Amino acid sequence: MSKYLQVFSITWQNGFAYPVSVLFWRLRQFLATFMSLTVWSVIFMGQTTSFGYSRPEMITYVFLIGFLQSMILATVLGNLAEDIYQGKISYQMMKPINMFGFLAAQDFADKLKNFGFVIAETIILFFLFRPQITFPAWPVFGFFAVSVILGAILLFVIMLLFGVVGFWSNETWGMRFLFYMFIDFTAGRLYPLSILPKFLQTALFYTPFPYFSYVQSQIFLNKYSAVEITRSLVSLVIWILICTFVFRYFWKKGLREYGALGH
Amino acid sequence: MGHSDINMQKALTRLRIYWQIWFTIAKYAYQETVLNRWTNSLFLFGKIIRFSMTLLFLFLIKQNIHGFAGYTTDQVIIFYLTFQVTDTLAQMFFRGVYEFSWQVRSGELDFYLSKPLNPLFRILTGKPDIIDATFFLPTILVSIWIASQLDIHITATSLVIYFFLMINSFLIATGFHILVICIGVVTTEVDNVVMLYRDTTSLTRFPVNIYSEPLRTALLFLIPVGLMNTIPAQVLLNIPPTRTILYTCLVGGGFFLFSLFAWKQSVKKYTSAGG
Repeated sequence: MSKYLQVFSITWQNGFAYPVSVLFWRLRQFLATFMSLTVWSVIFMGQTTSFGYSRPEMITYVFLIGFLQSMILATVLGNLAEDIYQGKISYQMMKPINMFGFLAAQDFADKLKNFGFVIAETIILFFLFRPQITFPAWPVFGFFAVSVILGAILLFVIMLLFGVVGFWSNETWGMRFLFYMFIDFTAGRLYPLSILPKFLQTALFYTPFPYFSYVQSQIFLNKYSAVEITRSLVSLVIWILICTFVFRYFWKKGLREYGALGH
Repeated sequence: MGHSDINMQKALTRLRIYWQIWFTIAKYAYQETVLNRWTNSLFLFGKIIRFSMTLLFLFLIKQNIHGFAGYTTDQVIIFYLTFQVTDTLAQMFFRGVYEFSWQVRSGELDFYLSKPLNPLFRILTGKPDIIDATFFLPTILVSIWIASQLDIHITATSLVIYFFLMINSFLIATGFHILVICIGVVTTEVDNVVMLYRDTTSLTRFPVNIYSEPLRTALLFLIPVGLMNTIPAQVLLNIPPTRTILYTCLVGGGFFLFSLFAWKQSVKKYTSAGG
C-alpha cells in the first residue's frame, strides 16, 4: 500500500510543479462556472421558475456541476494511448507495482488537488453571487457521494478503454474530443440535460453520458425518488461492469500484439 | 518607371511570395487532414454537435423566456452567431499558434527567425485548420438562414458597418494570438494561455452587458474580447452600441499595435536554448 501512497504523493507534487499551468487551468474552470452563473442569474431576473428549476435549484446545479466536473471528469489518463503506442508502458509493466493501481493513485491525487481548488473557487463565487444553495438530507447526500465515486470509477474505466486503442493507433484525441463534446451537453455547465426535448433525454439515458454528472446533480437536488436513485446507482454499476469487461478483453488482445519498441 | 512604381512592384512580389508560402502550408495541412480523416471527421462531428446544441439551448430559451438583460432572445442568438464566426475564423487561420510551445522547446523557432520571411507570419499561419475551414462555410450558411428567420431589424448600413467591425474583430483576435506567442517565447507556456483566451472569448457568446463591473469594462478595454463580438452584433441589430464604433476601432487597432510591440520585445528575450 505504501508504494501507492508514494505514487499519490509524487503525482501530487508533480501537479504543482508548473504552478502557472495549474493557475490557468483553474482560471478557465472558474470562468466557465462564472459565465453560467451570470447567464442563469439574468434568466431568473424576470421569472421565479424556468425549465422546472427554481432559481436556487439552478444556481446550485451550476455550482454542483463545477464541482462534479473537477472531481469526476478531470483525469490524468489522457496520454495513456500515446504511452502504449510508443511502448512507454514496458517500463511500467516491469515494475513490482500493479499498473492499474498506479494509474488509479495518479488519478486520485489529481482529483484531490482539484478538490482543493474547487472549494476555493466556490467560496469566491459564493461571495460574488450570494446564492441560496439547497442541500439534501444526510441519507440523500450519502447516495450522492456514492454516485460521485461510481461516476469517477466509470470515467477511469472509459479512459482506460481509450488507452487500449493505443495498441493499434495513437489517434485517440478525436474520440476523446467527441466524448467530451457529448458530456458537455449531457452534463454541461451551461444547462442541465432535463431542459432538452424528451426524445433526446430518453436516447441519452441508453448511453453512459448522463452518469458522469447529470445523475449526481439530480440526486443532490432531491429531484429523484428512492426508486430513481436506486435505478441510477444500479445503472452506474452496470456501466462500470460492461466497460471493465470490454476493457479487459481489448487489453488482453492488445498485449498479445504489443511490441515493446512501440510504433 | 517611377520610384513609387518600383516600390509597388516590390510590394506585390513580396505579397505573391507570402501567398505562395501560405498556400503551400495550407495544402500540406489539407493533406495531413485527409491522411487522418477518421480522427478529423470525429473532430468535425464534435464541432457540429457543439454548435447545434448551443443553438438548441438558445431556441429552448426563446420558447421559455421573453427577455434576456434587455435583449430579445432573437437578438441573443445573433450575439452567439457573431461569436461563432470570429471564433471559427481565428482558429481556422491561427491553429499553428497552438503548437508554438513545441517550436520554442525544440529550437525550431531558430529556423523561422533566420529565414527571409516574417517569423510572426510563419508562426501565426503555420498550420491552417482545415476542419474549421470545412466547418466555416456551412455554419455561415446556416447562420444566415437562422438570422433570416428571426424577428430582428437589420439594415444595409448596419450590415456594412458590421462587416467593417468584423475586420476589426479579426485584428483583435490576431493581436491576442500574437500575445500568446510572446508569452510562449518567454515562458514556453502556450497551451493553457491560448485555451484561457478561448474561454475568455466564450464569455462573449452572450452580450457583455450581462456581466457586472469591473468585468464588463475589462472585457471592453483591458482584454477587449467584448469589442470583438458584442459591439458588431449590437451595430448589426441597430441597437446603440455599448462603446462607439470609433472607440472600438481605436482600441482594436491600438491592441494590435501593442501586440506587435510585445512581439519585438519578446524576441529580444529569446535565447534559442529551448525550454
